[in-house]
Amino acid sequence: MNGSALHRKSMEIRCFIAIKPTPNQPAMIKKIFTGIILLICTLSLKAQPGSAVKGQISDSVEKKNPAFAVISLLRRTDSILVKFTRAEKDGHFTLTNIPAGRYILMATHPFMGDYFDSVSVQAGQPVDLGKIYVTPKSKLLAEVILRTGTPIRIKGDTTVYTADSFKVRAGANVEELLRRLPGISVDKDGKITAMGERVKKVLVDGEEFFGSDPGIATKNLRADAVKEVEVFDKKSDQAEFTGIDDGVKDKTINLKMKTKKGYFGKIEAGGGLKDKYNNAVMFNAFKDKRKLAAYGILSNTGQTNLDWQDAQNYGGNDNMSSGMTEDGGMWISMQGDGDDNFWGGRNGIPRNINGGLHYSNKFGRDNKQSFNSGYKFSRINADAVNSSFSRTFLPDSSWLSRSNNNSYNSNSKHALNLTMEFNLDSANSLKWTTRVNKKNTINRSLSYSEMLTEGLDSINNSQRNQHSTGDNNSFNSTLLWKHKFKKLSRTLSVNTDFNSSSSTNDGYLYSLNRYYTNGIRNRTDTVDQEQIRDNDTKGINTKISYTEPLAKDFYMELSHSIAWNSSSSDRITYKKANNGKYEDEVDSLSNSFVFDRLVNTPGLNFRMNKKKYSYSFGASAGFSQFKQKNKTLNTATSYNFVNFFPQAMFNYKFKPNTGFRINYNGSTQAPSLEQLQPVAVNTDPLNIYMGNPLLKQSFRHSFGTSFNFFNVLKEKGMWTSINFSMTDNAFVQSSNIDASGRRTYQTVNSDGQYNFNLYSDYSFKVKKVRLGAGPTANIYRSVDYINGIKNFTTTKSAGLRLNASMQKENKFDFDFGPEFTLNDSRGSINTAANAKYWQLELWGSGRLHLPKKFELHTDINSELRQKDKRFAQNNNFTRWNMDLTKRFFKGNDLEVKFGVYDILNQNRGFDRRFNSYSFTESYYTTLRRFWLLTLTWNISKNGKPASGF
Amino acid sequence: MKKLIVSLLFLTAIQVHAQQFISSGTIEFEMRTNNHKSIGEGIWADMFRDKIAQFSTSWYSYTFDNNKSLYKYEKQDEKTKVPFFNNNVEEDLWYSDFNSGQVVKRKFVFDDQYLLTDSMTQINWKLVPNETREIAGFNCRKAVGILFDSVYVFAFYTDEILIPGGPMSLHGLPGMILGVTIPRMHSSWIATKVDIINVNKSSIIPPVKGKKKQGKDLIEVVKKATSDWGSWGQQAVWNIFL
Repeated sequence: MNGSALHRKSMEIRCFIAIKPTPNQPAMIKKIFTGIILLICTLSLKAQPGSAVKGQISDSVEKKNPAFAVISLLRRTDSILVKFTRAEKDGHFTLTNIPAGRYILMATHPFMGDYFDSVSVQAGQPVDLGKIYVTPKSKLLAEVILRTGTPIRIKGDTTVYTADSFKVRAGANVEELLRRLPGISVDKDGKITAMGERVKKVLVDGEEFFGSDPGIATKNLRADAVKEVEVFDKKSDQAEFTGIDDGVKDKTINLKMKTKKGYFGKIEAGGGLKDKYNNAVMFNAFKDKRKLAAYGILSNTGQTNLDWQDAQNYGGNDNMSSGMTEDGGMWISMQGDGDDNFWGGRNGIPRNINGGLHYSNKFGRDNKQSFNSGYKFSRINADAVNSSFSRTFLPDSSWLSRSNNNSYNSNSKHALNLTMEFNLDSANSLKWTTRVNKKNTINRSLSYSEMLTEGLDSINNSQRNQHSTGDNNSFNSTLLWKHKFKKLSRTLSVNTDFNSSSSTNDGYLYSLNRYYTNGIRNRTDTVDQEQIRDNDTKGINTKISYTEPLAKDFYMELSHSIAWNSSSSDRITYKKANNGKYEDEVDSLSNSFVFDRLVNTPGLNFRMNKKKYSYSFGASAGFSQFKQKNKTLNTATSYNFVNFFPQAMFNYKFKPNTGFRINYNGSTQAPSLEQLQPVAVNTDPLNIYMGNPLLKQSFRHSFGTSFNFFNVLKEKGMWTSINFSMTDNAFVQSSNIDASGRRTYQTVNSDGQYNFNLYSDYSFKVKKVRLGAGPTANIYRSVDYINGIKNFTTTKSAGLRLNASMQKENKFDFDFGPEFTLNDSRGSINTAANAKYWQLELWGSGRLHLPKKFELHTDINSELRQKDKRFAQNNNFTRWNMDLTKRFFKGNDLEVKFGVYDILNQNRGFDRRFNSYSFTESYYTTLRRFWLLTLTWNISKNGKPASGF
Repeated sequence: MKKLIVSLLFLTAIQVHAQQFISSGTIEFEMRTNNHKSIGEGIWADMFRDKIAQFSTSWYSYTFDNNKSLYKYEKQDEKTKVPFFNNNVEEDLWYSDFNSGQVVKRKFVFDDQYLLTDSMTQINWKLVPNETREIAGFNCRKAVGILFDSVYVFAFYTDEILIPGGPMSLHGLPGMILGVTIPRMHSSWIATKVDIINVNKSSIIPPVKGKKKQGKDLIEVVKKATSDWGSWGQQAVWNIFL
């Protein structure tokens, strides 16, 4: 391909070796090679005074003066280019201002052989080199040295060297290894010759290392990472692509790397007298792309699962997914597991045991296929005590309520997950995900509740004893096929999701209820029942999406989804019969109900993505067919309706990091089976829930707008957003309270519910301290019905958040953030439950790295509320934690940590709620002061856990 | 492919002995970046590595006439583009005047377009005269430069093109740099075409738009602002320098 006129070689320095031709090495005798020996003419130099170097280039054969020849002066010690010039028409050149020193003068010209000469320059003495003769290029005789072969294998036309058979010093690079290999030589400039030919390419595991410059790979890779060195002739890329051999072959070296193999993990043992423990073992063994990980946790201090970082390293992170949006954004989503967030709730202090296994691997050429699977087990047991106090005000009456609940919960869960991805070719990919979960629950509770008049006379009271066991099995499988067409941005995807779940709950309820009139007991009833509940849900949902680029940066998205969902719920309640068995069915508390849905949703959206702005608009319409079957009464109702899901969005970028966005979304929610099933639920005989089969679907409008900017160089930024949503036919509660204080409630539809939210954050840096401030505001109006009267509760809050933080790597960091909020809650039917109070939350944390590998860490959290004389207790508290860590050994393999949680022993679980006609305060068990001494042993070989974001 | 593209015009040109040295022309550079490496290490990077193309490609042109040159963005391969990397390169320009030793860059840095005027910084090039490589039909010699004490620049230059320039503001070799690899920036620049007939000489003018600043001052500001960013901050600094 290259014109012969361009195929001009400069003079080269080469080292020579040859392989003794043996029958085992046919590849090596293929070619006879030649080399060029460089002749350096060392002229004795007569230095003359001056700091300029001049001379004249002349052609030794044709006696012409080659104009434009390059004359360069290199520093003799390190070949650094000091100065260069080009020869004039008559071959004269002058290099001025040359500092004193020893140099190499290099004269080059495309048609001439290179000329090298040593030059010494002394201060103030110009150098005149006189005439420099350069010679037209010519080849010189090659020298051939014979050498015997060492153990090497021949595979077809490939020669394979086993790297470990050739000793190199520790830490040597690949270049040094190559020098040891017979048949391969590397000259002092890093140029590689194999089998007598110049090596054009060095590949690493078959891939181009970088820019295909052979020297870069051999200088940057360590010899001990190489397993085999393969030498072969590679066809040109064009020939490989077309399959037609064009005869162009490049001598190529392929470095096959050793598999990356190692492990890392940690063993953590923590204990604190008299009954606290937190132990964990985590391990990850990897080999190339294969990952095998396992973990176990045993704790009663609130560590109920792997944290985010450990989940990445040891858990496989099957709950997390990520992707990119069309306009250049990235997203990461985490699917929460309800029971994993046990801690922090009101279910008491957990004692948990967790375990998991994870295996993942990649297969095929370029690791195009991946397999990812895992199994997890957890059991969380907890005892809890909850108590609450509330006051209720109706237009014609008011009362006090008190309750106390002692409970024990046990949740066990087995979870299996499997994900397989196939990148079939550059246009098609398949992803299959399956999850299987099995849960068992045990609940026991003993509770007492009472209602009192303002004069503290009893209205009613109830003692309850409940226990239940539940099983829940679920299965979910998703198959996603994505296809990219040849035309850029034209794509098709089909996603099918199948899910099935079934649950059974078997519970016993014993309740003794007493009712009073003017403080005198007038009636007592008991409930002694077994309640069995079976739920089954099955669904299949298929969505087809197609994207078509209509114009530059303008796209149309067409989609259609079909979703079918069938759920059934059987509730059967038995009364204790005279024989002591639970076998008399209670009709008013038993029902069998089926709810089927078929929804067809075609959609059309348009999207414009410009550099400065982007927008999208469109809608989908859900054609729904709902069918409810009351199997107990043998009645069925069907109804069809159409839901619209309009959406519109506009985004404007003033600068890459400054943008404004406004969007609208409309969406429909269907009522749940629990809300629909026409049966009474008497779990609490004084608060009975009734299903409402007349519920309609609700529709929510959401508007959002935001303005963000961040200036990297000034290190300041602002994030602000305003969101507003209102719901038509919202699902709200309607309660009816009879004279004896018994409440019956159900879900009904109502308009008038809305929510407004303002968030803002301004962040900037003063010296080395990052400061932040931002006002927040929230207005929420909710609706409920009490004895047929519609009530609005409007809750307003306005607050200010402040933040200051500073950090210095490996020295210290601190973060402090107070937040002040004013709350105002008003009801429409009664002002007695109105509330207005301030609240101050303080949060701070600090870390200090001390000498001798000590590290001190502390965090503090304070909640202060304005006193309300309607509540007896003071709810302010400060939770202050502190720990000290000492690390041992070079790699910090051993860590010893002593920590105290809630030093002041003030922590409390507390909640305060207001609505239009009542307010409630509740308290629940939470962790209080304890200390813990933890030993952590980190192990690793050839690897370490991934950290940071 | 680049080996296949040899300017026929150039072939005819060198046959005329007197015209063997080129003093004006337009060179097309292909820039390739290894995205799987440049995304870095860590949990976040591991998550996104498989979702982006391994290499992305874009093209730049270098137009030169005697001692002045203009290097500018031409196009990008949309299929291999990484949406969340900095893609504000469309208006980037490098104007070099080798007479006055001045370089004027129009560059987008984070949020703003800057007009950076500097005198050319000397790069210490170590010549490897015996290692040659043919790029776009030109025989090129190797040189190795070091920036910021540790960033290696592997360059191949030809003495057949007279201007001592190169892609971006790389310069200082006895001829034109036609190939560059900077491993720590995970990028390479290779000339794929040299055209000496269709040269739009009038386009070689310094840019005027942008926030005026000296490049070295901007580097100081960026160094300070990105001091705790790790390698991302360094990359930003090297980018401004080039």
